[in-house]
Amino acid sequence: MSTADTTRTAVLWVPDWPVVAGLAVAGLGSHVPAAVLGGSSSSGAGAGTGQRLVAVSAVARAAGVRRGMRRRQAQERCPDLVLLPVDDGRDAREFEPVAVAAETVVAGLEIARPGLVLLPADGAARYHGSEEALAQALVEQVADRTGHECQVGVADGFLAAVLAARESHVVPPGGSRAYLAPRPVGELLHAAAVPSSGGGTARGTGGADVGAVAELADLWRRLGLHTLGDLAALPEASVHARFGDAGTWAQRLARGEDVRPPARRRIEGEITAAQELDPPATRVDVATFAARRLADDLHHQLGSRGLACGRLRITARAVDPVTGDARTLERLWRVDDGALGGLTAARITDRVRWQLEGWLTASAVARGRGARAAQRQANAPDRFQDREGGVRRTWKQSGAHLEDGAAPESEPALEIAHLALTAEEVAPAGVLQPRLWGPSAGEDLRARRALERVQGLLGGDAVLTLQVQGGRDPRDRVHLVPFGEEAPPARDPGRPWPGALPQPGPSLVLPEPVPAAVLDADGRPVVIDVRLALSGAPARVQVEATPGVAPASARDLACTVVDWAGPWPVAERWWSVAARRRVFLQVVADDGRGLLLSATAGAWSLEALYD
Amino acid sequence: MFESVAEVSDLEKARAALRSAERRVGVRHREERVTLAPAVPLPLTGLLPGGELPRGAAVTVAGSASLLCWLLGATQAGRWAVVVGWPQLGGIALAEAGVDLERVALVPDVRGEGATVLAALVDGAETVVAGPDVRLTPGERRRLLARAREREATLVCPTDWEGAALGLRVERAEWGGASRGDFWLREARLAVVRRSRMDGAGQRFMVVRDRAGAITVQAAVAAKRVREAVG
Repeated sequence: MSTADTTRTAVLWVPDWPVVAGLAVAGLGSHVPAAVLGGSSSSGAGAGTGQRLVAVSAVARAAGVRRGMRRRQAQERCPDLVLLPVDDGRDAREFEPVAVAAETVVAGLEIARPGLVLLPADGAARYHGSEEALAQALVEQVADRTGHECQVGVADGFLAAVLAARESHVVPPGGSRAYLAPRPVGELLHAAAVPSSGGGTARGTGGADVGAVAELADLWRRLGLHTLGDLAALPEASVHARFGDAGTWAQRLARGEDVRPPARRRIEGEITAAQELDPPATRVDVATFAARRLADDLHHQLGSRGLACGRLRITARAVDPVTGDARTLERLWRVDDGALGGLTAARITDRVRWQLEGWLTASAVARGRGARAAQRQANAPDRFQDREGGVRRTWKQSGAHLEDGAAPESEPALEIAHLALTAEEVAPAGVLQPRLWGPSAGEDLRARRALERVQGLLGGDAVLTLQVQGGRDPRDRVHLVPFGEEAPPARDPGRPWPGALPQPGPSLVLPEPVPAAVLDADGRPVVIDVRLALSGAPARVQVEATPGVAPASARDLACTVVDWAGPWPVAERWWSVAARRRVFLQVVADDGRGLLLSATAGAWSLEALYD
Repeated sequence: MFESVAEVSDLEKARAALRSAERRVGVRHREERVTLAPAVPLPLTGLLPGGELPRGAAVTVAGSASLLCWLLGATQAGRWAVVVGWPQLGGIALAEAGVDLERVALVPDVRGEGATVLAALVDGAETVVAGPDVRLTPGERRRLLARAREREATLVCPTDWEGAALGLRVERAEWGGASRGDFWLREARLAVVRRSRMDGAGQRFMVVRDRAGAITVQAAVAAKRVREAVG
């Protein structure tokens, strides 16, 4: 029975991976004694103990530095120890080349955590002649391709393989239980050390986190169960009754069994359709024509392989015709809207066209919005044509939005020399599952269709969705993304934003601040000195009526101030080029409305209105 | 003193004349007595007849964008809201009003195709806000309203809309709470006049946002008009 549950597993282990990855990123060699210092004491045992070492390099270990030490203790043993911060993202990112190198030897592997890879051994071992030969091939490939030293162990079952890898050992088939039996129960920690963020594959049932397993091992030692053999010999039902799921998980591992078959990743290569445009496209219709072919190609590739994709990446290489500088423009669209009938070639083309319009006309914006707006009107969609059973409509291209007349030859537009479409998050078609609740649940399909239709009318950037992001003033705190595009907020709203304006937010935020004058009772301008003292209580506010800039609500604003709040200084990013120093002032006008004013270098402007 | 006596007698004379006229014509004069409603704070939906934005109709919320945000937040309930042609509307105000931003879309610039865009959106979204930047002819408004009625969508407009089923006009919005630099703007009192098909002439409300951000409505005056005959 036990043989049925086990898989012959090879484990590839890179010792002290966090340190190795950290050193590689920092550009230091492996001869430098280094250690990774934990962000916080995750065990929670000692509040206020500060940071402890999470991983230690071999050189540092030789100097007597151990895991779990504090910074001071470690530096005492080894004064020139390099301390690196914990960074799960870095570890995972740096490990990807190692996984790819291992994949050249064995297809289908599972990354248990950065630094530890599971591979199915039986087939590969037959191919390479023996398990030793397989291990050798793996070590060589990883060393060749990435320069990292690794160890490989082969055994039945997960725990035995992990422990074998730590000794570079091959446990003969069926020998796992005997191999594990004399080992202390504490060794279970090596199987449990799965950080929750490590690839999302928590190995084993619920109780596999480090703290719980350490506690359990400690308890077993105190109960007299010193070795894994002792644990394996207990009746299963009793273990489950006393120690729950974590106990069952540990016992199965101790018996050399697998908790579940390895979840092998099978890489579907990203599907790409790309084309060089020669001559480079400067007009939207030319580029769209090429995009149409690419979209058909991509759709055909996806269809012939029976795949669906979750995201569409549009990449264009744009060349500045004067300087010849090439830059890559890239944008990502979420397309996993199963309710909308999947990704058809027409939908792909539409997204690419919006994107190209954005890129090609962005350079034309500076040449005057007015001309473009007039032209857009002239280029109003002349006909709708139903496609794909009426689900998706696309408008007939009546011409480019950039006409030669609008783009003077003296300032040529961007040229697109290369266009590529990539289907990402590729999965077999038909397994895409919409969420049960929420906007993709299909219940509000009608609304999404309507919004897509408006995007078809006005362009992709005309329909925006709203997210709240971090920031201090009401304009910064709003993150606008074109509907359907994936662009996470730049700043996390969950972080503290000291100096952010308090609730409630103003109901009308002017797109551009309008110059204003704030006067005191004697008619002198109100000035804020370096100590943030107002030169006088604000008594009057006058907004300079700039035609076309001020909205109707702020057009003829000259009011008496009845109450005011502030001033609040906000100095943002003072260390960078984009530094901004502003002082905010709230004012209640005599008509009852609230005004939000800001002063930069002594000049006041109206930012927003509360009405 | 004599003057006051004379006045009373004048009043008496006038009343007598009125009574004789009434007898002659056969109409009875009744005195109107107005009772003030007890100032019980209601949730914001108390402002709306039936507690809901009317479906398949136009609603105007004039004079306060805050009130519009609050109403959207209070009545959204999983529906889609699209704000068209109103780039100034504060996103933070929408979020703070409790609007589910996952079901909000903005079309800030309609590029002169307001009617087409609104018609497309009325087909799909349940609430469509036609902002001040959307220019519509009266004919387009009528057609949009007919379409909204058919699709059971709500058209919300911050300016007047002919044939609106419900009109809320904020006569005066009073922001406060700053205390000359000690605090910040956090209280608001909005005097709202509601005109709907039900209560024709206009009913007055006071919408109050208190310091903690709770929004309540008080029916200001004239909850009941009692007419009684004068003997």
